[in-house]
Amino acid sequence: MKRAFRFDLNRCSGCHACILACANENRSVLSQNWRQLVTLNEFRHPGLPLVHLSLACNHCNEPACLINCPANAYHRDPASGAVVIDPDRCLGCAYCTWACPFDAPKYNSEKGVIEKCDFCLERLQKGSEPACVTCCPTGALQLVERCIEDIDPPRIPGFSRTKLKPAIEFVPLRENSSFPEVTAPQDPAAISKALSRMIIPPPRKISLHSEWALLIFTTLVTILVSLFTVGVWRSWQLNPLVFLAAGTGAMFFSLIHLGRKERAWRALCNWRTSWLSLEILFYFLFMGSSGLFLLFLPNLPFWGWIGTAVGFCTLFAIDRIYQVAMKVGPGNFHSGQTMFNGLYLTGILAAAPLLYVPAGLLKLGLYLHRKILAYRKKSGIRPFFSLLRVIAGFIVPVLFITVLRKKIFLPPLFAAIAVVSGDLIDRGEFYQDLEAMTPRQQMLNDFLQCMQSMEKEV
Amino acid sequence: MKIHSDGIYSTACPRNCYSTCSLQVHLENGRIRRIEPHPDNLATGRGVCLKGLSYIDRVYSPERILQPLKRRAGAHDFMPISWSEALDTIAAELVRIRDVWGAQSLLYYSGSGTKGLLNSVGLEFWRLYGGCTTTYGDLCWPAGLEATRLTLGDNKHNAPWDLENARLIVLWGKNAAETNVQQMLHIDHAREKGAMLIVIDPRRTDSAERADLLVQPRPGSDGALALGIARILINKGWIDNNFISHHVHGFKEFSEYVQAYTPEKTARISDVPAAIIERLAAAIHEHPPLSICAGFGMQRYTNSGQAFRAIIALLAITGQIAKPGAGWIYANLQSHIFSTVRDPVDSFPPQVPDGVIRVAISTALLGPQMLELSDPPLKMAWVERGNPISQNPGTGKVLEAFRSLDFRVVIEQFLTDTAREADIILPAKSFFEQSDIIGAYWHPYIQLKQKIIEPPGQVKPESEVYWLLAKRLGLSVQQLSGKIPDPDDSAVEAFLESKLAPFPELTLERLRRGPVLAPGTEEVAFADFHFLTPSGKIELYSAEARDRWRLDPLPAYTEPEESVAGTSTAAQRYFLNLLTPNTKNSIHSQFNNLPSIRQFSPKPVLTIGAADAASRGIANGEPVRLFNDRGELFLEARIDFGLKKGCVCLANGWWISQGGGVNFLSLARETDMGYGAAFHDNLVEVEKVKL
Repeated sequence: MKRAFRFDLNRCSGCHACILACANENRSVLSQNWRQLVTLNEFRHPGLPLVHLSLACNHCNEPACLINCPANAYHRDPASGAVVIDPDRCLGCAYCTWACPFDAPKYNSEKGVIEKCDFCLERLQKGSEPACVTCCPTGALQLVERCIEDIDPPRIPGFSRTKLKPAIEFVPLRENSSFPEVTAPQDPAAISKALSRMIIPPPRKISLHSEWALLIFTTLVTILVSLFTVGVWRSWQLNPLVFLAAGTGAMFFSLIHLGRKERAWRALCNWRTSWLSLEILFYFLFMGSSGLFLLFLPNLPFWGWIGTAVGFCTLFAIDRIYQVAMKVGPGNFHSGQTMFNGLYLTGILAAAPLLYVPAGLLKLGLYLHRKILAYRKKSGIRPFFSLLRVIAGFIVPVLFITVLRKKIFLPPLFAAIAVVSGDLIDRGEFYQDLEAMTPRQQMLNDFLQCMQSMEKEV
Repeated sequence: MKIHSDGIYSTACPRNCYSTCSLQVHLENGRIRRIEPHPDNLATGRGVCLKGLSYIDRVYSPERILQPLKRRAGAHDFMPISWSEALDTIAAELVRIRDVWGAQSLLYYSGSGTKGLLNSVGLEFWRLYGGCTTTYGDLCWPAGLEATRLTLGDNKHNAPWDLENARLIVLWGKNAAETNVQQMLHIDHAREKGAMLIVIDPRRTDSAERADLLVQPRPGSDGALALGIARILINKGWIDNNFISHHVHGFKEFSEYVQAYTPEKTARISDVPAAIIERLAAAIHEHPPLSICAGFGMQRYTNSGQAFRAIIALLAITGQIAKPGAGWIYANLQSHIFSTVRDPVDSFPPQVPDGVIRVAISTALLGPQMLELSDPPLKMAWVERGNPISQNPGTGKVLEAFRSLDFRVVIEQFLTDTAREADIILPAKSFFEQSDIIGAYWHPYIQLKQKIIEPPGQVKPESEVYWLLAKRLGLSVQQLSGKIPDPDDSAVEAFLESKLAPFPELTLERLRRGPVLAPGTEEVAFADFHFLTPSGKIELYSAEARDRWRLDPLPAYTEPEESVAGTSTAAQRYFLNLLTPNTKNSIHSQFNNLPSIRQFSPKPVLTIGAADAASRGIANGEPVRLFNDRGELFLEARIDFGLKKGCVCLANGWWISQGGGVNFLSLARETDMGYGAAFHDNLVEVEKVKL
């Protein structure tokens, strides 16, 4: 019998019992509760209800964690429909924590693996309900038989709208009593204004600070792919040992953030549905084919072009990985994504205007577009770095390989160094622009929207 | 050590809390593995609160005191000592103090930290010792209890689950979502059936969130509000004349008295608009049956006993008593079957002192009266189940009084503010470590909180400590017999069986399986219309109020002594009412020290309304100084747009060592009746702290 949580918004009074019941049952780490409570309108705007939402895992019909996990650590329990992680298969890459908008997978830093709600499977098998349901003193949390395949869940504050088909039912607020009529006279507009100044955004899940190793890894891969491509294209003599050593070094940086490095090989397990898995697969193929070409077949460019193709597949896969957390507007194209970086760098290294002009213009356009948006939002402008990024990344390299070409030693190399420096800044911003949705962030967004629509009504 | 076999054990949480939940404790490998609700309790069977769930954290806490501790001479820290050294030292002090000053120079202070019949062992010991001084009254609820007793004759109400039959529920000063969370389910069941919910509270609490109407009176003005509503009900004829003529005493005098409380005057006093007062009266008229659930905070004023009498009068004149879905839901003492005298009278000082136990200190006035007492003056204190330093009003004076003593013994689980003042700390048991029997004050169940694990470390239950001390004082087995059980489980069970003997339906064997309704429980209280008042009726006019408490026999309204609308000197300098409610995160000063709870309430915060913050230049999250003539606290401000203007709010129970200690600001002062503590007669100011 497939199961789903049912949550009654009328009944939850925010008592936190579900969280402790879950923590007791599952012995989770104190700072990483598997269940969480988020609240709309904590400061009690008189024109809006205060609503609590208690969430753990929704055991989605199309679970982002399971689909994106590179290690095949997740499976679905056929009896209950629970999406379950096997910690012995988890390599601790935490990619599922980016992919899940409900913040259900939790990284246990003591064990270096992900843990999460599994409907308390052991309890279910013994005929009990999940601990959170058993202990909920107001009956707000219940377990029901799942019958929600086609039901579109109603708009619930704090609950992200996704295509994952989460297996949760809601009892929405009763219309006639969603919040109390307050007798004291108040000015809603002034309150909204004061409130918007008080709001503190929730902590970021992804940032440059936490992902610096991945910045180095992806940049190195981009450089290697570009260098190899130009090597094949322009018949450069790349030292195979140096090249392979650099490739192995890049690999090392990709391991740094893993909780269980000894299980890194498991990242190849789910190449069917996980872009992260494909990235690693392509990267191995790139290293293999480029090594083969450089060491044994340098006179057969066909093999070189195969290596190039696999290399750009790697860059494509890298970009797809980050799509789960990229929200920068049209098409979700970012000027710092590796495919564009690779094409541009290849063009500069090869001094091929037909490549670097369109790639550079695309990147510059996307970059300026983002900066205009940042200027409007008054956040993320970073004038100094932006100027440096444009000069180093676009003006200097183009000058080096065009007008200054004769005046400097090895112009493509120095142009490439300038490109990489500029792109490093861009890529740094790329990581800052990543935003994994969480219920807290969603609740804040919904609250701001509630206030806006209330102001419009006034 | 005896190992208890793994399995599921029934027990009950013995805290000073409405819910007194029935629990099922799962024991695995000799450790408490999980805590779940016991489904047999119709009031609490649905779920457990976070405090109940935090017991696993609490029992096995690395911070827990597991052996006797002795203050290092001249220092503020403690060193572990053996039980024999601890008991020898205490026994020597007891003998010395009794010889030099007399037994009554010892203060035996016991709080409400844990319930149980074995609590009586303490006083039995002090009697054998030769006497002691104790307190009367109560910090918590006696003004309301006494108001109820004077009006209805007894403190009892309908079964908690009967609330589902109400058509109008008024939560008057009660925040059930945090202090009685299981009641919220019964309220929601009533709401599902179409009942109306009105909350009267200066705060917009989680209990108010799904209400139809939130009425926010000025703190301390509830009595006037009730009188204003009563006037409308009477003048519009929205009363039950038949009920009044049979069961109400003093209606005529009451109806004359309330004529002064016109909607306009009531609005002026209570700061509730006249139109809302009229709507409240209309709601009462249109939606019977009416249940009024009154909280404890509202009766911690110097005028609150009278205010409560006025609120109960609303039910009396509309006939909303002794019916399903109706009534006065304040305290249900139907399970208090083991004492011949029920609260609040049980906590009053005896009219004729017995010469052994000197019941001389009002709990509300602990600090000043400890200092004033003479013949003999106090020289030693023994504190158990309580944390008077942070929890009694006037912390400054309480501290002074405790520090002026020669010797202090505190029995505690953790290093609380009171334990920190001790000369010797004895480790206290948890309720899983000794069997006992408890009642409740919301639901009518008798419960066994049975022993499930052995006390950890060197912890000994209090009854064993008394037994060992009695031996050291040379008391014989015959003297202890029937008073202090021997320190083994079978003696404790025999002691409990003897208490159960008068009630054939109650046996330990039966109670081991789960909660049992107290013999004679009335699901609908007063259904026999038998009111234990002098007139045998519901008394709106109470001669006892005049004779015992020197109050108006009618529920007359007066301003609290310390009120913004009053004439006290405080009112000229301090313009904010300090409310010190309980939250879901603690029972007074218990629980909030545990990491599992602390994650939800990391530090004390002062809640302040937006207008009051703005006029003082305070922004959300800024450090502020909360002060009056009695003390000051430095806190973080949190702006709350739902809080009544003129109020600030700081949860009670924060330890001084945690940055709290709310009672530095309160004054030792009694309520108008019942010997309660008027914590909420407390005017303060707040200012921004310049860094």
